[in-house]
Amino acid sequence: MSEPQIKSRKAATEKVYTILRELPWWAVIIAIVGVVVAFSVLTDVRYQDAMYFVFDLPWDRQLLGERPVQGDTWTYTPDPQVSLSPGLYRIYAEFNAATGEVKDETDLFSEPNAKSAVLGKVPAAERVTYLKWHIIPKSGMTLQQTWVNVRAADGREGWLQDKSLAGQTLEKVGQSDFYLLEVAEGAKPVAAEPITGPTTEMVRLETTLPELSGPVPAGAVVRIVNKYDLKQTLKRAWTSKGVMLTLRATLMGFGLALILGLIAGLMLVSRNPITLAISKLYVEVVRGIPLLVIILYAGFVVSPYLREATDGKLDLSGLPGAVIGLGFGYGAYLAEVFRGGIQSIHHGQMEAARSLGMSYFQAMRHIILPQAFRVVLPPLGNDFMAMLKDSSLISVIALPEILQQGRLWVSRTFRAFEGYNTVALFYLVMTLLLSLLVRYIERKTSLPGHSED
Amino acid sequence: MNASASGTPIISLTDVHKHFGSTVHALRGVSLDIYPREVVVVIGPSGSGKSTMLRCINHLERVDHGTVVVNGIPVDKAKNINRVRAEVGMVFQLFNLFPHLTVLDNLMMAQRVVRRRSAQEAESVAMDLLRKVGIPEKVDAYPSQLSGGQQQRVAIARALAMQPKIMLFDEPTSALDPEMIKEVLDVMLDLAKEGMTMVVVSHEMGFVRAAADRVVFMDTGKIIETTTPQELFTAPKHERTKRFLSQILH
Ligand SMILES: Nc1ncnc2c1ncn2[C@@H]1O[C@H](COP(=O)(O)OP(=O)(O)O)[C@@H](O)[C@H]1O
Ligand SMILES: [Mg+2]
Repeated sequence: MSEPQIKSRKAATEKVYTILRELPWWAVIIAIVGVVVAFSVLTDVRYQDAMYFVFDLPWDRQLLGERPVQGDTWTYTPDPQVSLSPGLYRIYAEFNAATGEVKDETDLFSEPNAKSAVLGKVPAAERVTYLKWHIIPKSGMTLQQTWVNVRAADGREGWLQDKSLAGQTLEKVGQSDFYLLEVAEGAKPVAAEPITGPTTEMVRLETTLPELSGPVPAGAVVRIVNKYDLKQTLKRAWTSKGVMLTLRATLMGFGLALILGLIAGLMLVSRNPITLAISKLYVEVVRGIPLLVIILYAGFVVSPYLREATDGKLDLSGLPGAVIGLGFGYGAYLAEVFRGGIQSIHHGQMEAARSLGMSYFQAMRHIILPQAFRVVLPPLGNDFMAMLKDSSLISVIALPEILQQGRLWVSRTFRAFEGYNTVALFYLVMTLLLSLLVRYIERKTSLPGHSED
Repeated sequence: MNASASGTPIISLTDVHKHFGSTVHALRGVSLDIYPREVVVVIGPSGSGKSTMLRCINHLERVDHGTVVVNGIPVDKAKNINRVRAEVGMVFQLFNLFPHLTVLDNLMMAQRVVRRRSAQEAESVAMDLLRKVGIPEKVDAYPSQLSGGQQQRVAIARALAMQPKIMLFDEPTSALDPEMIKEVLDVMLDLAKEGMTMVVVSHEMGFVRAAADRVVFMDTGKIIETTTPQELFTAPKHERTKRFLSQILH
């Protein structure tokens, strides 16, 4: 009786399965990650906080004001007591459409202040209620530039470039770039210069938040918060301490591992018993020791020893030590990868090259290695991703990479779940991007007649 | 072709022995002189040491005992080896083209790296040779895009690009489909007509008849007999040669 129905349902599931089967695996993962990210980041303030901390974002989301609406219009007058951070602000109404149960959000203005902001104007600072230093640490802990956030008694505020602190070394910058300093009324910033134009993004700060008003359903609550600027945030995250350190350690460590691995791999296929023995010793010993232990050696044995032996001239503490540990450890694995790649090339290739009069090294360089490269590309990509993940081990020598930042946040907030999710998400996104990159290179270097898969 | 077995030999093997490991005695005292412009075809059953002998000439295999002299240069020390290889071109059964390079780059690579020719010069040499082997239109193709016969012709051109005095062929047609054998043999015949010194391991009797000055029959690591093609087909001296010929000629 209901056979056609069953059939059509079957056909429908079949269709779904086909679609799912034909989706590339990475699209599925990206979709899942995308949903998780969108959900957690955009809705959950705890994730936002974790990300701001782990990725070292310099500003927080701020609630600037909250106004219940009595009639059907609203007015917002900036509160002179609330300080503004640089950035754009979003004003939205939260209201209860009919029953008061379902909450909805409506943007009242998309970028309400972008146009009305007075750029670069600094208020007369005769009666400063407080000063706020925005410190941009560069090249370690030495201050290059300091900016002073000045607020006048009438509520207007702006930024001043303060040269009095430039060149000073801070003991500890801490996690936030903002320092609040209580200053007596009437104080003036020292040697301050007014900002004359929008020279840095800092200048995008509005000097005053204008009065705003607009229609809104009755019963709504109008909120004003920093506008979530994805591009800005990603840019900040990309260049943040933890991310940069992780990427730098991975890239430099992998570069070193490639060099060591290629040399050791070439030695492994040589017929000379001495070079063979040396490379075998390196590979077997290093592969037999946990990478964590090698990093501890590099950080706490080798670099202090070198520092002492050279009277402090050769200081490998910090990143260089970590890079050496990662590179030395991974070099052994890459040596085996290269050995396998070279040996996978038919010996006829070497014979043909030699019979044409090429030396062993010319044949390696021009004939064998270019072919071996295509063979080892997928395993190299795998090892690169593995190294990205293993770079989290350098947190043991007290380097503030992503995991270290995450642990710090967890220790402050006691929110292990959100903290480690944030860390895990970073690695997941990075490895996904990397595997796409590897596939791209594979496709680019594949030869005609050789299929890509 | 040019049966002038006169003057000094250009290749001279004297009592050459070659072992692989402790069990395989691949060459057991091979002595052979080959003269300039001579075409010598080597025949013999599989495993008789034909390839090994060929590979000893350009030192792809090191000889354990005896001497190999090519163009007056003893093949022993590393320095001599590269000088010898510059004089000797080799063509392999499985072509051994460089799959990651186009046909043109296959022909140019050794010219650039070993002979240190300019790109321009190397390219003009390569193009001349591609025209000579009849496939100038494949200049930008990759080896995997060519038929077996075309690949082997490119391999011959690649060896010729080094302007060798001697060409070694190790079963150049035995990996080819029957319809492609002729195009490769034609190129080899042209070479023989031009007076190239050639040592060819092949069982193509058509080629033996048309081009060989001498035929060497090998078995179990030894040269059993050396004859002319006429003698080989009409009156082989040795019993083993007769048996082998009856097998391959059906
Ligand atoms: N690289 C090698 N290692 C070990 N044995 C080999 C090697 N090359 C050839 N041989 C052996 O040497 C003998 C002669 O081989 P080869 O010269 O290739 O014979 P042919 O070319 O006449 O068929 C064979 O028994 C073969 O198994
Ligand atoms: Mg053979």
